[in-house]
Parts: sequence; structure tokens; C-alpha cells
Amino acid sequence: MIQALISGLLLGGVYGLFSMGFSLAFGVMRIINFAHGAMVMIAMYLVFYAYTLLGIDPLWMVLLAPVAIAALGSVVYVGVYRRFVGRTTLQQLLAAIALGLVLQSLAELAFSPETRALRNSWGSHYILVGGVFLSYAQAIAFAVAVICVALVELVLRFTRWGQAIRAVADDAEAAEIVGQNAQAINLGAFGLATGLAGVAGTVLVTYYPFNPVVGFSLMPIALIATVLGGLGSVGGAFLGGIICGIVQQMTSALWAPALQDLPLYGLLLVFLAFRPYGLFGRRAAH
Amino acid sequence: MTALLEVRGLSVSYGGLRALKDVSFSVAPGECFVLLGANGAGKTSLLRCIGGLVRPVAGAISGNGLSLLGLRPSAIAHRGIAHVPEGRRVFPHLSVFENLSVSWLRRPGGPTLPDAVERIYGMFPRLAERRHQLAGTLSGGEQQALAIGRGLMNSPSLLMLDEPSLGLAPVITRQVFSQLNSIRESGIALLLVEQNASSLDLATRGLVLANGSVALAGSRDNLRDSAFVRRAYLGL
Repeated sequence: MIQALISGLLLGGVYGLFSMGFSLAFGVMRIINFAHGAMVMIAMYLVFYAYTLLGIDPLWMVLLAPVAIAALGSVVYVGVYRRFVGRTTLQQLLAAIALGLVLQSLAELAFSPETRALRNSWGSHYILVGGVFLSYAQAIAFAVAVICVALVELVLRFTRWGQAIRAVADDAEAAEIVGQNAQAINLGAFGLATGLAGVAGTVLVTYYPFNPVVGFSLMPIALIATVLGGLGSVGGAFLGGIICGIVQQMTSALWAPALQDLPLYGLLLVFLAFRPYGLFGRRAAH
Repeated sequence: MTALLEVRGLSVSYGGLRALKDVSFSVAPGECFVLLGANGAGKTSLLRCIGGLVRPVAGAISGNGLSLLGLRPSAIAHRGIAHVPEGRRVFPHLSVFENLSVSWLRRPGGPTLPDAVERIYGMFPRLAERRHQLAGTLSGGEQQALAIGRGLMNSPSLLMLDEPSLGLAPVITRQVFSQLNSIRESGIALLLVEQNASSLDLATRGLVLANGSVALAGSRDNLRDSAFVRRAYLGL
């Protein structure tokens, strides 16, 4: 029971990290980036090959992978999403799904569809804390997730860049009127959102087996976490991810592993019906 | 003297529907130019076009002799032409301070952020009291003050205001107009869009728009004496 709670918390932290960038892109630009998971997947391959081919420890890649994925994100923003900013449309959603599938197919072509795991010196270590087994890799992943959510919230709250991002999220046209180049702010915010996908991929790959479809298979979690946390809220998506992790692990431990997603989707339906603005969301967010 | 703002032969269409037709006027430094007109006469389109939010189909707009056509709205704001939009459009989930701070741009020779914010707080003490409050929770008059304060953060040479009296109680409207008068006295020119004809008290010159065209233009006294304005706006 305690074991399930703790492992749910650790897993949930990474779910939260996975969901933060997705929620940020939606909150600022109203873009549903269904390719977010595919970007996480690409980060996983990047870190995997950096380790197996170049011997770079995954922990170093926490700094490098986000830069690479943010660069990819910027290209995607300029090439695809820029024309959809400001309003969620079916066309935007379809473009995002197509983009995710393209990235996934390219990954299958380049890396083969087989499932792999990164085996490094510390990835499979366990530590015993107060009668509870903690995976070393999961504990590190959780710590990285907490640091990320804290940093992003601090940047959004207390820097002028963060204020500008929040202003664009509130009213992009008014932000232009007061002298903020909304296009540039959006590009930066999307870079930040996809950079977070890069961090998520980096920590996930240290203990999570992966293949080209792993990104898409995790997207439902990002959707649920984002709805739970209040659409567009970064800290909310993180807490939503933690709730997802705990609910999943508790179901798995107390009921049956095969049913671990059932209460999760039930929760999504309940929230969409009765509290669509989430636990921490603002009623005004649409 | 170069006009602060020069509009020549401006026409705007929305999907074939003509909103403005061949509008020309200019605003000189330090004056208060009033645009009067009924709902749908094209006043807001005119301001949005000058502010870079709407592209004209014909005509020219220049600020201090340089063309503003094709510039992003943010670039026009950087040129010293501030736009206080219709409906105030404050950032509801940002605090009063953040609304001002996000509207400030670092410029060589410009005021520092604390100086610029303090100047606005000096003009609108209510905003100082509520500096940490979310802008969405302010009253209409306070939001209007914040929207004006936001426009002043970059010490513009021209402040364009789209119906600042809209939805405000008459007593609050009088306060806003008296603030605008002190802003003008400090040397900032105003381009004021209004339906409220008491804005004529502030005006040096102005024009009346009807169906997208200039129906009447002249000095404040010309406008006030015209039978058209007296009937349509002053209820005389």
C-alpha cells in the first residue's frame, strides 16, 4: 500500500513533467500539441544513442536534450503551428496528430520498431528507505521533475519574459498593443514547452523501456493530467500527473494491474462533466 | 512642423464590406483630436488600423513622418504611439503591477521600470493601492485607469483611446476625462474616440465619422456649433 503510494508518486512526478509542456503550449497558444509525446520519444532515442554511442551519462543530457528538442519544437512552430495560434481548431488538432505520426514513422525508419531499454550503471539500482523500495532512476527522475516545475513556475511568475508569456496567454492582441511581439513570445513559449518534453524524455529513458510508439501511448496521461490540473496551468498539470501516477499504481496494487487505467479514464470523464476547469484551473480558462 | 500622426485617404474593408472610406486627418504634437461617430461609423476600425491591428486596403499612415504601414502592432507601440483599446483589455490574470511591467520596454534614455511604474501610481493612486491585485478583479473605472497607465508606460508622444467612457458611471467618466486633460497638459497628444460628446470639452480639433466617411471636421468650436453635432450628440 505505502509502496504503491510511493511508486505512484514517483511515477506521477514524471507524468507531471511529461504533461507540463503540453499544458503550457495549450495555455499560451491554445495549441493542442498531440506531437508532444513524439518529441519526448525523440529525446529518449537521443539520450539512448548519446549513451550507447558516445558514452554520455543520461544526467548530462538533462541539459543537452531539451536544447535539441526545443530547436526541433521551434522548427515545428514556425513550419506548422504558427498559422493555428490563438484558437483550437480541428485543422490544428489534425495537423498535430499528423505531425506526431510523421515523427513516429521517421523514428521507426531510423531506429527500427523494436523496444529497447537503456542499461546504464545506476538505472536499475534500488535503495531501501523505511521499508519501501525506491528505484534510484525513478527518484532522480522525480527530483528533476520537481526542479523543473519549480523553475518554470518561477520563470512564469517573476521574470518579465514569464509575464509576457502570461500576458499573451490572457490576450495576445492586447499584448501586441502594449509592445510585446506576440509571435516571438509564442515561439519562445513553444520552445520552453518542447524543451520540457526533452527533459521528460531524458529522465524517462533511464528506467522506462521505449520504442517509437511510446510517445503516443503516453499522450492520454498528458491529456488527463492537463484536465485535472486545469487546462493551461503548468503547476496544475504537474499535480495532475502526480494524481495520475498514484491512481494508476494504487489500482494496480489493490485491484488488478490490467485495470490500472480504468479509474483514470473514469476520473477524466467525471472532471470533464462536472469540473471542466480542473482542480486548480480558473473558470475563465476555456 | 511634422504631424505626429498623419492619415491620408485611408480605406478599410472587411470581406468586401467597406468600413472606412477615404479618411484623412492629422494630429499635431500636444493636441487632443476627437473622433466622434455613432456605433458602426468606423471609429474603432480607424484606431485599429492606425495601431496596426487591421490592414487598410488603401491609404497611408505615418508617425513623425515615417510610414507605419505593414508594421506589427508592437512595433507601432515602440514608435511612441500607444493604443488603449476598446473594452480596456487589461490582462485579467496578471496583477496591476504586472500589467504595467509587461507594458514597459527597456530603452536607452527611457525611464527605469520602477520609475515608470511609480509615475503611473502617482497619477492613479487607486492602482498603487491595488498593485498586487489581479486586474480582472478591478472595477471598470480602475481597469480603465490601468489600461491608460499601461499605454503611458513607454512615455508615448501620442495616446489613442477607444471609448474610455464606455460602461462607466458619469462621475467616473468625468474623472477619466480630467485625467486625460492632465495627460494632455503634460505634453502627450491624444487621439480620442468617443460617442460621449462631453469629450469635446477636452478637444482642440476633431472630426465626425458617419458610415465610414468623414462627415465633418474642424476645430472644437466648429464641431460644437454644427447643427449636426448639436442634434446627434449634444441633444440640443
